[in-house]
Amino acid sequence: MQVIDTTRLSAPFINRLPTEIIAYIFELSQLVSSNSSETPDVALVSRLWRDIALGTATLWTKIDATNAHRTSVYLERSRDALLDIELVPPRAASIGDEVESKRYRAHAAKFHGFIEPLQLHANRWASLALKGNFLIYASAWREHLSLPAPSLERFSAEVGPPFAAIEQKDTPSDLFGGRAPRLRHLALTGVCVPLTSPIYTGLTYLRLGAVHFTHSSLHALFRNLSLCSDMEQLILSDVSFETDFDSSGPGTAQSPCETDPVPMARLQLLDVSQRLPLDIGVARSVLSSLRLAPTSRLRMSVIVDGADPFAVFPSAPHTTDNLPNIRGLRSLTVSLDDYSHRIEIHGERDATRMRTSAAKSDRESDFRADLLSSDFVPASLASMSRLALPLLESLVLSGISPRTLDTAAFTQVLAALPALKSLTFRSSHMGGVLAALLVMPSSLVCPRLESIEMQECDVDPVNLVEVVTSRTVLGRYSELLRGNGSCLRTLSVVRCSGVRAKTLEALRALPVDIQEGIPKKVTRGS
Amino acid sequence: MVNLVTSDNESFTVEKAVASRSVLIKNMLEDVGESDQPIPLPNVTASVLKKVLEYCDHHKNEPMPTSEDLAAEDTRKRTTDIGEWDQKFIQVDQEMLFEIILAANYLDIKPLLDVGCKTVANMIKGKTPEEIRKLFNIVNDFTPEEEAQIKKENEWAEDR
Repeated sequence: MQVIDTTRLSAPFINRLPTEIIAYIFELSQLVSSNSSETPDVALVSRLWRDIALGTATLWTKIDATNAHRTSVYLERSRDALLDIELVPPRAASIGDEVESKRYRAHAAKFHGFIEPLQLHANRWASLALKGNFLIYASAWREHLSLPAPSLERFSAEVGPPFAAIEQKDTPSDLFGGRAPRLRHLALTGVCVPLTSPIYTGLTYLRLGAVHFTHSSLHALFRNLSLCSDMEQLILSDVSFETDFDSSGPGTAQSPCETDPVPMARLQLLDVSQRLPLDIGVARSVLSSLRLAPTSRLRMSVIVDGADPFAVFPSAPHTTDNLPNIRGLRSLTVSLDDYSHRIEIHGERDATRMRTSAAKSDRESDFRADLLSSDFVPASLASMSRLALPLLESLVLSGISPRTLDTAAFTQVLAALPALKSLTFRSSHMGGVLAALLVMPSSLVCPRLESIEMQECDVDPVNLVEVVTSRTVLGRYSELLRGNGSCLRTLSVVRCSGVRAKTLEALRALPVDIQEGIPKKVTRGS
Repeated sequence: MVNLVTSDNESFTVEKAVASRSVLIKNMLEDVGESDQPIPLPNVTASVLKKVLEYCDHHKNEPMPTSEDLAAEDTRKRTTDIGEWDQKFIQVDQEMLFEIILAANYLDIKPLLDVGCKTVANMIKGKTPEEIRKLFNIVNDFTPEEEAQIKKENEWAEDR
């Protein structure tokens, strides 16, 4: 039973709390404190609070550039508690804080002096974050991280851009003596740790950036990932390999894991970006060698082969098996910029989300891909059918032209979209592309298509009337639609050249709701 | 139903599910078995118990934190997030806030203790020592010598 200290009754209300409760509040206040200071502020309030603070080990566990000059004091006061160590430049909010910047620069210049007192406490390290050019030369820091770190859960090491690390033959792989069994979060940017290191196993978060592996193979990466069954986020940014596979050379068509993809059942995010045309094979291999979860988000930003930008995706059977998250997409927007040879793709599994929450950040999209051609061949959508999209209900195509999508190719694309209900074209030169939608005994694509929308497109009016007619009950082969799907219900034509009064008159004579007028405000991703 | 009697001799009759949010009362009920005997709560006044019971009633259908949950709770993974209802509930004056924390501690209601402590932690957030003193009416009882010593401790070689 709690006995209240009566001598405290005249004290401030807060000081009537038992010491252990005040200590608990201090711990919590440390969590919410964004600014790192030399001494926790609560220790500077009064004697009582200072005594409590000095006795609360967890208040003294964060060691960074601002307090590293008192490392020995912190190590003593933190007793056996786990340590969070950080040597990173001041955050954006602190820019301008000259003292903080000065201290960071001083410690980064003498990393040895910063880390040495902490080395003997490597068994207490819970997190270690290092950032700066002092990491460029491995010899300057690796020897200090050679002791086992049995409690380490998070490790990040980052050299600022544009530096990219190149694996050397003698790059040591024995970081933490090869023993960091609790490591779950690993982020290395501009820093190379060979993929033979055991630190790559058991992870839930892996970010590799700006690194060129000359000895470690892509196969080794997949082998490590197969030992990370709880992986939640995998981010590969400008990662390239000299040796794609263990036994065969780069350029081999078959991925090392193609026959047995690595299951990533808990993966929430796969982010692959390749801003330099170093090796598009990495993105291609990753997509064909991992089996994602149906709910995984996929972000890609890669420079691709201009002739076939979709070749980065595995062929259709593999897309179905390995990318169930893409297979589950219900809405897709494909924007093509013919001048910059760029294709932007944005997809959602919830068909309504794209329409109702255009402001949703790209980071939250279920599927986001930026495919940039590496040469001057116009980007083409011809091989878009590599994406298996059996559930897709809504497709928005922007910026297409006969050069990027002809009738035959569009027929092939649409043939892979059996559930499509809504098709939108924006800012496109339609040419004869609409002919793909013509209902013929030999060709019936998108039997459930109910709505076609065209905004600011260049349209062939004869072609348009012919296609729309064929998809109504007045069409010559309308029984094909009635038997397998549904007739077209709405046609929206907004600011389309080629569509004049006579064309509209012909369209209005059809059993279709014709809408025309000022376009809705087009927002990215809407 | 369970009958609770406060330090100022007021009785509260509440559902067992509500009273059992307190591990202290829950254990007492298990020890005593079925009984009409009132349970005395000598460390809690009526006004505070009323608030505590309001909290317990709102959360009565939620699962109780198990001992495994509490043992697994890692200090390093705690957050200071407070639910929307709890935030409104805890909007009280400082005296009541600390009385609720004391009562939650005495009655062993960990989730309520957390709400109270997180609220105080959020009040401390971003404040200087002087602002904290002012907020909680705490007297700076450091001697000038102690203050000088603390300042010296914090000096950085290059700052001198």
